[in-house]
Amino acid sequence: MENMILALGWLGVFSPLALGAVGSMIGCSRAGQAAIGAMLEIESGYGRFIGVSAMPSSQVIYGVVVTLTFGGAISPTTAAGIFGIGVPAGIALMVSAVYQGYACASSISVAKNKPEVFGVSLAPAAVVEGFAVFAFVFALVLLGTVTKG
Amino acid sequence: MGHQPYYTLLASLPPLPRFDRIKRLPISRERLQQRLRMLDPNDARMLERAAAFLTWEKDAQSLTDREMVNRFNKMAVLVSNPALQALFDFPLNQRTVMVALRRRHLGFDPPTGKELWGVGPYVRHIERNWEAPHFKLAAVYPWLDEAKGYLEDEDVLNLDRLLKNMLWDHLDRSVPSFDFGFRAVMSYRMKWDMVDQWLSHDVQKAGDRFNALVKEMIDGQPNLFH
Repeated sequence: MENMILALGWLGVFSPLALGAVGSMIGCSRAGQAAIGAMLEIESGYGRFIGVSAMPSSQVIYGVVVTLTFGGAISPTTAAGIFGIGVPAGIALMVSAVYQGYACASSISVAKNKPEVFGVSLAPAAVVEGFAVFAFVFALVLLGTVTKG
Repeated sequence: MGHQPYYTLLASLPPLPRFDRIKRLPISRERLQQRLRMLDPNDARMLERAAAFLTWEKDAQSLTDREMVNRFNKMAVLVSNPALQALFDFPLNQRTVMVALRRRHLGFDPPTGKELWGVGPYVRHIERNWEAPHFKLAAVYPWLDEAKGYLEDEDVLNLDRLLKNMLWDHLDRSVPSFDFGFRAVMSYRMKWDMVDQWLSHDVQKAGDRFNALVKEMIDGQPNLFH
């Protein structure tokens, strides 16, 4: 039984990284394809579109930090709590990266035609990023509660 | 079919302003065809068939009503995706309603149930309500009264402008700007065809352009005809 709980704990440890990576792959791929398409229509300013298409990669970075932090705190007493925090945090990171990819692709598609709205068009992607940060920060805060308990 | 996203393709297409507000195509036919090569082969075939079908004005003189209806039936089998079907329904129903208005305007007898004269869900409804001013469809198509007015005044240009505007609005409503699927490609192609058709109406401008090109060529080759 203890091994089972530990296994679930490790699932919670690795989920933020793995699911965050899956989300970042999908998000960056979508936004990156839009950036490449935009390059066919514009004469300059390619770099900023590539920069925008890399935005969904932040979720995997948050995942790395959460996984490293959780990995150092795992024990038979904390494993269940880590599972309960890590898996939903990973799902949140994955979904936010996927949808941030949509937002970035739309931003690129619009800013290509109307460069003056480039900054504003990034607002939806930034809002989605904010939700990913919530999931990241509160996963770390709650880990403190689990290890104290 | 039609499920693959086309981020690169759609981001590579220039914006299409409304057909009556631009002087020239933002992307040439050749360049558009080149970009459309990014489509999956099945989607590309589907798009070509759909585009050929929807630009029926080109074949309207040479095809009989029966042939047009047969073409519609073949397309209906191909367009099984409900999202794409929504794009197709409007122009087809629009055409059926306009056929009915024209026939009545020209003094045709009410069509009988056996006659093939239109397609879509409103055919029987129109036959039943032939004497009603707008075939009792004014609530569904509020533009019918205006279209009827243009038809009676034989104002072909404004009638065409109205019908194209209605279709353009329908496409804008049906395909959100954040859609990167085949539906968005289809909508772009339908709008591009509308712009192309509209610009080709300007015969005077086309004649001037042709003369200018001929003059440019002759001026550049002064000894060509000596």
